[in-house]
Amino acid sequence: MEEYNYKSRRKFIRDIAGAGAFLAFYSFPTSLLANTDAYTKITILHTNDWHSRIEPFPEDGGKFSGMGGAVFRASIINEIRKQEKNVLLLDDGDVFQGTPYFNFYGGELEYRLMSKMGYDAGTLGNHDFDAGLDGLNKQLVHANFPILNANYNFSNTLLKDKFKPYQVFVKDGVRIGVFGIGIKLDGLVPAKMYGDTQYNDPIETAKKTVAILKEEEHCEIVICLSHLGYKYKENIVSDEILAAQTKDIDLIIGGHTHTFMDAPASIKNSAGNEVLIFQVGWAGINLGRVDFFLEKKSKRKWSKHHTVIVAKKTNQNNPK
Amino acid sequence: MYKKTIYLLLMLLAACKTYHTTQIQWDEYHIETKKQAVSADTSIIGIIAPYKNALDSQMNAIIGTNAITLSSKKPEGSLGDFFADAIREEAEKLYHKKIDVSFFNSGGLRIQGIAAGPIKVTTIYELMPFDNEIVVMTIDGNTLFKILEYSAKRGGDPISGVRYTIQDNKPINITVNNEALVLAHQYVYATNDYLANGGDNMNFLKDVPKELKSVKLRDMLFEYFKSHPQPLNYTADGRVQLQK
Repeated sequence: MEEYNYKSRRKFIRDIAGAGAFLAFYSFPTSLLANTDAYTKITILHTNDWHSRIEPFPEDGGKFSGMGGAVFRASIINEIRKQEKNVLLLDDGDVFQGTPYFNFYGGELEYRLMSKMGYDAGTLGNHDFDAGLDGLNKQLVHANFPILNANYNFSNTLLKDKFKPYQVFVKDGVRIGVFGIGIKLDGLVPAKMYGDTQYNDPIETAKKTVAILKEEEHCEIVICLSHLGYKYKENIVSDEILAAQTKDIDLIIGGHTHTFMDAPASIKNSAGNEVLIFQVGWAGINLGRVDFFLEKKSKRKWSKHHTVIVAKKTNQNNPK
Repeated sequence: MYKKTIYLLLMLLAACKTYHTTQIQWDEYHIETKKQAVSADTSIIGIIAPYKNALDSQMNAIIGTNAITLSSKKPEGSLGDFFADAIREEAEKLYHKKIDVSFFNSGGLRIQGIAAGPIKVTTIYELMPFDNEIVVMTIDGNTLFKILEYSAKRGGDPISGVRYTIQDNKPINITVNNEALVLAHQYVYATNDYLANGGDNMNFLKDVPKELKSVKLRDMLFEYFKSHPQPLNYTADGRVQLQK
């Protein structure tokens, strides 16, 4: 494992089971882990609302001076991949719009760079419609990763069959279901841009999709790429509402509201279990990371409401 | 044989087992060029290079200079004031008539500010990346009041020609070009096609007849810089007040 000289804020956001359980987990001999195949770790990396910020913000003394940029994002992702076996790299949409790179190249460079960085999946944000359905269609050839959305129906458009609702990834024997949920386009995106795209209810669609991922696809981890936005003062469907009104989602990767979260939010779902929501600002300034530590046991040994400890990463390998 | 049996047994046992999450850790990597200890990914630089080279000569051209940093703020900021004033002035030239009010969505201005110093073409693209076009229409004072009500509720937006105060999320003390708002009066109103067509759920302008010129707001800003003495020296003038 390589060493880095990075600063890191380290704090536990929650430790329900106490330090004992936490330490016990870590002191487990790694050789035994490898032999029994009873433990594994899945690393999720994520971005949201890149908005065509190919290069870092200019060094002009502004708020985000020198921050972001595809070059160092790729470097950090590569370093993490050297350390971790089971990495999934996900994006939450609004890849397009914000710099001349989009005005002049229509999103081609954004998708090419994401393909090169090895993104496993993305989704659609409202601004990904900014060059219309035709504009989006032209760029899909540059994305070598699936773009997932479950609640837009493109049947009557030229984008019919271009997007899958979900994808299942298998890492180290763990089945990870990832699906996408988009925001209501009417009133947000000019009608001529989204054409005959039909919007379906995010909550109902999420429930149906999660049921498929759990019961038919037998996923052990379910991740929602949601472009609904973190939360609103008004009663508008958001990640918080999505988390609370569904069950069996483990992680909501959020976007749209450009929220810089201090830590992932933890929300109780309709079955009383915790769902994490994480969103890392916008413009590619931050790369989010969530590690799932899994243990293999026979089904009867798991209670329905087992406790999951959520903690800030405490290792030294943190490229801050 | 013995080993194989054991292995088979283990396989069978494993089949009845499932993975469950026992712990989740999270982290966040801050990407800032100066602070990285990792080296730059040259393959990414290589992909960007041809695009960047083709854009840079055009985008790094200086179109003006700025004496004081413009910044966006709620209920009012110098960036929003500048933008709304500039578009109103350019719209008057374009339409050859007096425009009483211009109004835009704060979410449509996509950068937080324009730093003091030279202003590059790219900055104008980043401020106004959308290909939104200018729209002019005649509305009555009642409709203008509805627009201000809508804006006050969400804390204010870039506006020109109007001064008012937000009290309890409602507009009060409204003046249009220094005269009190008259609900029955007709006003010439400029905005972008996004809002005029119901963007941001601003549905009440959809049916108002519109004068279109197919001119982008971004190009109007470029025109503004051509015809104005530099450097720009713009401060917020207190047109939208928040009463606490």
